[in-house]
Amino acid sequence: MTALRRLLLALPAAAALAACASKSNLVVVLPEADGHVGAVVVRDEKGERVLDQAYAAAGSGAGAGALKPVEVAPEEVTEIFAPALSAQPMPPRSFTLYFISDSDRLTEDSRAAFGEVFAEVAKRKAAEVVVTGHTDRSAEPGYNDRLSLKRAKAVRKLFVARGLPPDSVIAAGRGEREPLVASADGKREAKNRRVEITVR
Amino acid sequence: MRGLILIRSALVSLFLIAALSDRATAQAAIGQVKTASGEVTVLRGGASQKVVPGDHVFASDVFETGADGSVGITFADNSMMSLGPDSKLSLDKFVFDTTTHEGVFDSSLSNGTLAVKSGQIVKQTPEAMKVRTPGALLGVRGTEFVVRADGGSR
Repeated sequence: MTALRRLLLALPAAAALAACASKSNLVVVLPEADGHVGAVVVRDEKGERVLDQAYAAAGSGAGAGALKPVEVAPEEVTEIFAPALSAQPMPPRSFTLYFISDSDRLTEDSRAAFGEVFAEVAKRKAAEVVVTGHTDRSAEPGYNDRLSLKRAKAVRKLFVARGLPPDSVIAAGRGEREPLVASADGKREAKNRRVEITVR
Repeated sequence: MRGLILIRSALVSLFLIAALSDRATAQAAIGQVKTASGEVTVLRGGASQKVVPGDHVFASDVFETGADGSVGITFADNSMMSLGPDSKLSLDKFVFDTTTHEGVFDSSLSNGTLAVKSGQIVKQTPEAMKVRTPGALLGVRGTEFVVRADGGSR
């Protein structure tokens, strides 16, 4: 009886210890700010497991053993990962500016909106800017690749003119690959004639 | 006269070779350090140096943090990684095409804690981003997750 009692008493402590040991190696999928949850595929010597729920986790003890499903509470994630999570950079912020058809000149509204974009740049430490040009589908894809890059470079110039170091502004063209709104080939669409600016 | 021309053209080609190889070896940055506190170092080309915000990050860099260290990095595809204390992360491979968004991002966490937000590489090609840990290979389908590694070597 005493032996059994001792065993029963020892059980929770042993379980807690085992739980801890099985989290020396740990992977936890987190919900995004908008509530969306992504997925991570864990592959090891025992096979493959997809973690695709908020706080879905796999863990193992120290060393290179296979990972097993483990329960992890949000508070536990905060506790274990607080320093890493608080070292995360500010999330990138995106802006869109629009162009006059078949040109690298901004529309009047977009020229005015540029000030707001620059304010975001000024706010950040070690700011970088990525300017990605896009076109509508009124010309050939090859031409649109070139036009989209021309648009991106024109906006890049505006940042450099305001004093941002040239190597902190990247210009890229995406042609007609990523329309903001769907449109038929050969058709003009003002909403797709744009640059997307990411400040990070 | 002919000798002079020969020497001159030899010099010109030497200069060209130097210029070309310089361009070939001048590696493009793959990211930038945005936050750093406490002891943070990077191992690059065999030399270890201190890390401060604003530093450029290159493929093959190995970041290490001390007992009080943490560091946050943004990459060319907008993905983000940050390390907690006593951590070691190798950026094994990073390739990103800004036009097609195709790419590869392989890293290894051998010790410590890592927080990840995947970016455009994963959005374009799920699992093109991989994080290796002592016991597993993680294929990233997006977007936010955390990893702790303990290889048991200490």
